Amino acid sequence: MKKLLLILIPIFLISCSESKLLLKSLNQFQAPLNYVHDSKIINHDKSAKLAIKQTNFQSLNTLTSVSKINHKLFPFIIYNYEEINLAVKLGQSSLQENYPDFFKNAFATESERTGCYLLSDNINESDYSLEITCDTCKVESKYQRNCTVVFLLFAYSMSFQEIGFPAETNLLLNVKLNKGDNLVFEKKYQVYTAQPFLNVQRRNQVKLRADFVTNMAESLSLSTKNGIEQMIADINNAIKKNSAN
Amino acid sequence: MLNMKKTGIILSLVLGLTSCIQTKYFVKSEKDLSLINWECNILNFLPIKNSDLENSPVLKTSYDLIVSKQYSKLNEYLSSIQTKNSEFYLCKTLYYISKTKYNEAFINLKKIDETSYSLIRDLLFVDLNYELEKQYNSENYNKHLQDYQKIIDKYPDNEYLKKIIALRVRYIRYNY
Repeated sequence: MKKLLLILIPIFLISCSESKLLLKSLNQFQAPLNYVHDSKIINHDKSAKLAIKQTNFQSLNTLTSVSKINHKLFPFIIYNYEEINLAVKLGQSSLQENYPDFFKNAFATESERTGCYLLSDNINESDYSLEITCDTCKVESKYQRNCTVVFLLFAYSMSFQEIGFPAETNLLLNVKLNKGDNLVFEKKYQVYTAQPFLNVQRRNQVKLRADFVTNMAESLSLSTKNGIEQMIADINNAIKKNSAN
Repeated sequence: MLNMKKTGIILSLVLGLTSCIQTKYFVKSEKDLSLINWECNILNFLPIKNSDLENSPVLKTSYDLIVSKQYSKLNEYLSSIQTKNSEFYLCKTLYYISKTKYNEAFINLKKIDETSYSLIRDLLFVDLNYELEKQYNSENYNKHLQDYQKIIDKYPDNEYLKKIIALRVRYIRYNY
């Protein structure tokens, strides 16, 4: 029993420290969210005024967090393999821009390009009011560290490997368009993106971890872009339909 | 007992030394899910159509020589050309980009004045600005993003350009 504890306690301590060390390392990096708006500018008649009311944009975690998924150990006589899988959740701390502000700016820019309405800051003077609620904003990824040891007769070979997996974003936005007190349109937008890495050779550990954070931010950025584009297309249709009636 | 200790120390020393030699440390990304090989991006993702290459033997030859990495041959070929027109300066620009001589590439890029090459000139102008700023560690992601945004808005119907710029923005995102 004592011997088993002597083996298990160090393994537990190592796996706990792994997540803390990775978090400390990832916290050194911050990635940008801004993107290029590639939609074609449409010159709509912008007579309708729309005011945005954003609520609950705090669904993105404040701090990036790392937790252990599992720890595998295969101790054979001549071949040992150890694998630690860690789950990383993106937080505001890893982003260069404040996410609610980024969303607001991206929405305003896209509206200016393709919207058939004029954005206004004053709800009382606007024809329409838009309520956007971010129900879920989760960016997750997996980071793996593994170690292989092969014992030969008078020597042994040891290799470490670190793998960053593509980030996955789950964004759930709820949109309500009102004209006065009447609900014109309501829709839930669920955007899921798995963002692949760039195939860059000659990476080192620092670069891999910086790219890992960038990959997560990129995933969130492009998911937001998709969500906003879908949203504006639907708002345009709803406003046109409402004006025709 | 003493012999066993000695043997133990010798064995651990041998193991320690060999492990130092044989220990490998490497980091890699998930291979199967990787999408772009950026290393040959500049040439793979230029807005040059097949028809452009067919209509210009100078561009076609230069393009083939860059792809096959025969730079000295390309240099000789470009030196032998007498007519110094926009095509020639474009080929010179691509040659210097391939050799990562961005200052020289920039000088040649400025000499391209034919309107049919305005798109490629505008795009390479932003690319080279980025590469030059990177050399002095003064690159600014948002500034380059705005520059690419201006190109997209200048050529709004070019869908291929949008794809190219998306890749360029990805490159800057990961390399600034």
